[in-house]
Amino acid sequence: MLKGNLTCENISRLILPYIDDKLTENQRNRVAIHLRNCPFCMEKYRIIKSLFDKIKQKNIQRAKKFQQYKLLSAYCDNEVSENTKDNIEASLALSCELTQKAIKINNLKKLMNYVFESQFANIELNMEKDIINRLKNDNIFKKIKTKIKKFKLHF
Amino acid sequence: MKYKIKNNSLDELIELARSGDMDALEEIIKRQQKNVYATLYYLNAKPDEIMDLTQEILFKVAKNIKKLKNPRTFKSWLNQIIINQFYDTLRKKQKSVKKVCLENTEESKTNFEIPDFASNPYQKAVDKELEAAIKNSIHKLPDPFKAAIIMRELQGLSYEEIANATNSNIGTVKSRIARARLKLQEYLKPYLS
Ligand SMILES: [Zn+2]
Repeated sequence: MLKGNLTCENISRLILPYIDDKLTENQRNRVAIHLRNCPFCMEKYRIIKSLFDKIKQKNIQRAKKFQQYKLLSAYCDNEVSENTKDNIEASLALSCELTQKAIKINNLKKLMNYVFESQFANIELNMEKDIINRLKNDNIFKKIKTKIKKFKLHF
Repeated sequence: MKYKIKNNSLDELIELARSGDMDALEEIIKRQQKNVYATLYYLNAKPDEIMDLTQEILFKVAKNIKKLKNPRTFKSWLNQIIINQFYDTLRKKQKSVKKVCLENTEESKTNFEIPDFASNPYQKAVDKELEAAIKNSIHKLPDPFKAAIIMRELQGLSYEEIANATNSNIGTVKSRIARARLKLQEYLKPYLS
């Protein structure tokens, strides 16, 4: 626990948790008092804080962008509710950028479906007879086994 | 085989198979085998193992179809079996790596016969490069993304079916598919313009 007034050295250790709101109320108050009285630490705080805010902003934007993409991707799979569908279609009508994104997702879908379909279209596996025979043999084997068991019980 | 079987829907076939109709079961396997094979191919199963794996999975389906309560969940159930069998085999292989190294004799390098895409005349029409690009791109995806996008685009499963097959919720499936697509768009950029 820190006692008395905080030194500038203490502050450099506490600045990040202070910005990140990871301090107790008591600690927070003491950092604030120091910052109010020390222009040097205040300047340092301002620089770090503005960097921190920029990163935070970027992360929020990135997350928002992904949320939007995710919704669009589900929309292209026809996996959104009617309500959401209407909202997305309204947004698509208004935004070229969004429309471009949707087109790109659909192009990817088309490309994959085209390759998947043509690639396996002419492959013949013909495994069904073998599988059924194996299953029948398996069943016969089981029956024999239970019969042997019964037989053993009888004698 | 009875003629009518061929015209039955998958749901109807499953109902019949559950009551012990072998013809229906045979038709189900006939219809699903390519799906299983293609899925394993894109999950990156080894060429010399893919036929055996397909066999094992289909056999499990045939053997356990009576345990399937609701025909509607067939696709999820099938994919659960595929995923489990695939990763089980992978795990067993990783465990036996040491053994394999010791036993790595010429004998063990038997060549299995598998369908060769290159020898298929129809295949010439398809852009080989594109095919390879898609395969490589899918292989680069993390496992959960890979499985989700394969089930979606290769097999046409709904998000709910994928969620059931992978033991996750729909929100997670939505995310995984979107993440997979973002990556694939990046990898396949030259083919998408
Ligand atoms: Zn100071």
